[in-house]
Amino acid sequence: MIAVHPVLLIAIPLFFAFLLPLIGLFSKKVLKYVVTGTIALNTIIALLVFREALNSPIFDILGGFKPPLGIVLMVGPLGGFIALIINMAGLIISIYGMEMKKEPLVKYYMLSLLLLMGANGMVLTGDLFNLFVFLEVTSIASYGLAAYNKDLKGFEGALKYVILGSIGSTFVLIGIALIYSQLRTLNMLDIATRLNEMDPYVKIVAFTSLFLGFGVEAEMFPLNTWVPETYDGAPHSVSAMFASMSAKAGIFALARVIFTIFAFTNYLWFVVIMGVLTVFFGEIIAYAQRDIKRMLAYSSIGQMGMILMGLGIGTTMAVEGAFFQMFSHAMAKALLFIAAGYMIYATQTEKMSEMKGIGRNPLIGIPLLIGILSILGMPPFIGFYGKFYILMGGFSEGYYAIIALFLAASLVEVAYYARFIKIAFEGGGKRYPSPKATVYIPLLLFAVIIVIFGVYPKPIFEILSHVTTFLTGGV
Amino acid sequence: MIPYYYLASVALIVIGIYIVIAKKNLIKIIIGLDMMDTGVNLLLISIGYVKGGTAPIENGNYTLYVDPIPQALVLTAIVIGVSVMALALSIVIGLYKNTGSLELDEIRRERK
Amino acid sequence: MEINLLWGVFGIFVLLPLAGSILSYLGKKFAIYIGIIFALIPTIMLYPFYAQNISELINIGVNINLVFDTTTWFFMLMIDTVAFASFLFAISCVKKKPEGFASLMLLSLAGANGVLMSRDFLSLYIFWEMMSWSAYLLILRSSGEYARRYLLFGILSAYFIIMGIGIFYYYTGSFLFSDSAGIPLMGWFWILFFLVVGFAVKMAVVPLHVWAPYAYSSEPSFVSFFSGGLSKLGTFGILMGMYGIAGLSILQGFGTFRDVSLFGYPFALLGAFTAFIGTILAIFQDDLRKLLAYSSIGQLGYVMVGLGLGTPLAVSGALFHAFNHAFFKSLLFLGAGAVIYRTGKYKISEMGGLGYRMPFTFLFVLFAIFALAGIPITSGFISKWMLYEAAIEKKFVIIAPLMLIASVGAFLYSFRILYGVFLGQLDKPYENIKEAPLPMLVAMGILMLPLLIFSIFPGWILEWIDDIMKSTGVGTIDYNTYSYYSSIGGANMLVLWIAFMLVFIVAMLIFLMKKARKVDQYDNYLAGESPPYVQLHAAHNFYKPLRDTWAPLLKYSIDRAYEKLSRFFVEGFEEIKKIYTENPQDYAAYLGIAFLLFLFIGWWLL
Repeated sequence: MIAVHPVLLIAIPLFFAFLLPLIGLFSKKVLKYVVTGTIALNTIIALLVFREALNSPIFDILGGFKPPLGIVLMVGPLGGFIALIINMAGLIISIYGMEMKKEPLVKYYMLSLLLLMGANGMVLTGDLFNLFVFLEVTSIASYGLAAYNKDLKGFEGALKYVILGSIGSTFVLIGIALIYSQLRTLNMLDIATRLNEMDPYVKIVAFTSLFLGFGVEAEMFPLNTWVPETYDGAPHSVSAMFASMSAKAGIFALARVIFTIFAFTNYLWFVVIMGVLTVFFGEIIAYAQRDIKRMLAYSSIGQMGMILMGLGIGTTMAVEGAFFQMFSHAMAKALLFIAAGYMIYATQTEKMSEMKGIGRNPLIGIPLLIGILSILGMPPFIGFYGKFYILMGGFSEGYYAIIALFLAASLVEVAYYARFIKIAFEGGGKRYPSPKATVYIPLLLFAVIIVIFGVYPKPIFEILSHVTTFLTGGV
Repeated sequence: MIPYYYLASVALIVIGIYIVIAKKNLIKIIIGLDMMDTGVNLLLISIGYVKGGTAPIENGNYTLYVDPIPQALVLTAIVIGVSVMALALSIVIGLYKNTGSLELDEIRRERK
Repeated sequence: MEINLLWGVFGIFVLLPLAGSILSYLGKKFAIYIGIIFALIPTIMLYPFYAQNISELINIGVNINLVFDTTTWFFMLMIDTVAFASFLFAISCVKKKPEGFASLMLLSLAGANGVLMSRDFLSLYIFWEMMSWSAYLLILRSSGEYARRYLLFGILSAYFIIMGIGIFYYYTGSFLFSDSAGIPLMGWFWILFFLVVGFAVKMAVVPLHVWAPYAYSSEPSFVSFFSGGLSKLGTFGILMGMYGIAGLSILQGFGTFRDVSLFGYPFALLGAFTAFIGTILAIFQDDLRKLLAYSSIGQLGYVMVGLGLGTPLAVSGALFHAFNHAFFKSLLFLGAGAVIYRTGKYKISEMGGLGYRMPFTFLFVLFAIFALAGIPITSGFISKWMLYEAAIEKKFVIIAPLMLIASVGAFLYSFRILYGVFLGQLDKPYENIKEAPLPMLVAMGILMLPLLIFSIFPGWILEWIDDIMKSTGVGTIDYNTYSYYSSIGGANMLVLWIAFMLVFIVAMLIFLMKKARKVDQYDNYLAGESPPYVQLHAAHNFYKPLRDTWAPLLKYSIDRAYEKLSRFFVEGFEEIKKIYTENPQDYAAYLGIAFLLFLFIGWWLL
């Protein structure tokens, strides 16, 4: 087997991102194919890396310094899995991105490659400060993309994202500084083994800072306030990227802070409570939305809260569920955002109440239904397994009241999605332009993934069996 | 005893957050963000500080020198901070072009 | 070779409809015919698999248990037959996107069969949800609003069930029904409470019934499957939960009231109220579909009474009644569907006299109504009689009268259908209406057959029920081919049939002896004048005096209570929404506050 360096996952998008302006000088048309090709290459590499990581964790040392001093990439099975998800989602979204018309296209493609690179880096790195750097790369690319539409809405969303994002990353940096001041190391595994040497008070402050800082990216309540407006103001493909790439990278970073670095077992209930609050507010406010993209954004908050809850419950089952949920949410939410993009384009409005009959075209309607049913956690779609495992994990730990609250919030989720479906499939709407290939191909691809792994989830569960090592502080 | 430069960095961070929360002018808000950044950078630098140490250049003459890693970190952090500021300012320019104002409440009123 | 047999059974009853679902979607124009084939095969294959007892533990990461026994068989018999009849009916009435209809019907059939085969919570829940959402999409075909109501309650039921499952899992660490040892009584209470309430939603027990009148107003061919077939899964679930998983001894452990478990008694009471309220509301409906829907709610209330009481007689009666209900209610919905298909109207007051033009439909509906009203010679009578006796036997002075009143009410609304739709004056616009198309008639005929057979030979079905009762350990009742016996009597259908035949022959003779003049329906006069055409069909404001009597009570409505509740919540949501002020400075403040809060919690924990 060819040894694949995980660093390629970061290097390739970076290289092509800065090659794009050059290519753009010659031909603008070829750009989109270059981007999709790059991400496809990246996906293949991610697959190879992942296959290798399944056997044993990969440590890729960068720059010649040995850890704990030098920077190291560490790819465990779960990290490889998340990286694969991110690249796969990125690939499918980039197909939708091909129909982007608004100039400056070079910058759009560049930033999306940088976003991919940052997200990959956040997942792969084994160094705390490097994690911060990649977080910032992701954030900067995201700020740019969020304002890409150059209208008031986009700028406002981006402004909120910038303010909260930079406060969040300041917190991350504070946390890193505190840890470094005590342990004089930045390598995650090294920190984890020497955690006892830390002063408990400093430890609490450091943990809180890191938790909060990554919480901004992972859409935790009450740090997720930027989400709705940023998602709403960004171009549709970008919203899909946020939901399925940067949010996943953020929550994986959070999971590593919780489990790999701090090996936090006594106070996990706190994470559960934050998770359930996130679900609760996300779903309830989503119900009160009138615009489709805002509704999806709040729903995304709710789903991320569910993942957080699963992480917080902390049993093998629940964490497996949480990782499964990351996968299913990445797929389903990207699908819904792309569908929403088509709907907004076809109806010329964001108001859900004016989208009568938009789903009656089966090319849109069937993927839309599959996506929504998966989000609602219906078998045999992938959304079911994550939700069920998280719930059962919660029950086995005795979190009855919290789960009852969670289920109540999920019922609200059902209510607003059903309200949307009702409008989308209502008769008597106008005739809408039929979707282009760049719209329905990604939709169908996502739908096929959702159904295939929903019917046959075994491969995913085999990957997730590595959760046990992850929970005990392994890679 | 907590060294005073730690206090200074905490003060900078707190002032920065206060500016972000309280001031209505977008430029000021961004200055607030920058102050927070500076505060954290100061924190990082002071962590690496060793009393009486020199610059971490290996030439055999000195045995006592400051920890080089925080300095590397701060350099990176400054670069990142600058690029975030640049982006934030360009967003503010965009807002100004769209609304003709830099005051947050006026921009929000414009929206409605 | 046991496992192969199980996979064979699973293949026939679950995988085959699933495959059919995909095939029929590709089948486009022929979708319904493909659907018929794939619904027919399981129905026919039930015959060779009678009285099999196949059970297999399968490990798919967790242990699941798939079983095919008499309980499964008995419920499958209802559901698959009804599904087949509904498909036949659909040939002539589903014209709009038949491929969607057929594939979703088969999907929900597969889900239903899967639920019946699973004896562990994981597969139960998976199949349950599959059935649930495919039913949702089927309702969505006719109305988004109805579908939304159904989905909310469907998911509510699923969440109740999952709470039950979760608590079970907490105590046992397993999903198998059989691993139920070692659960304390309090745990049992919550498990059973959540499971029974969850399944009761599917049976539309008051006050969780408000979805039913809407869901049952969608496409008739689906509704007959839904009301006749899928609602029986609620019965199955409660039977399994209370008697299959927990068992009588645990139920008795909650304390007893006249030998009836204190856990079951409130549910029996709820069932009696459901029967009562459903019937009363059915009487006052002018929409044919809504009338049948409320009637369905009422009838399943009887089943709930039987399941709640838990004596051998009561549970047998409940199962028997569920069986009858599956057939007569599907038949009624199909009959209503045929009438609606031909007239295009829903309101009873706008029909009338259709019996002259659609005699076969009339005949089938008449028989179904006999069974529904429990007229003694039909199988509906014997099952209701068992339930009455079960209540009377234990001297329950609230349940028994409520059921009896409901039974009288059933006569009233049955009469409303008979008179309003089929009898009386044939209105001019319907002069040239034709009999329902052949597939519809065949479908209705298929459903009528069991009703007829089991009205004479109740012992056959009691034999199956006896098997189920043995496996659940509730105890058995005495029966033979024509009759059953209980401590306070029982019923003998042979005697009843002979008596009925004698009376019928006498009445027929008297009728034939009397000389009658045949008149046309417009051969009438008013005050000496003979008008050309007069609307004489008095189906408007039917039962107005009765309605006036009940008016003070009818002004309370559970529907409205729900609407108020939902309005309250939605307003609350709007308030909560204000947390997200859209002002970045507030958001930054939240971040700061959260940081301080977390720090405080952290220090406090230290």
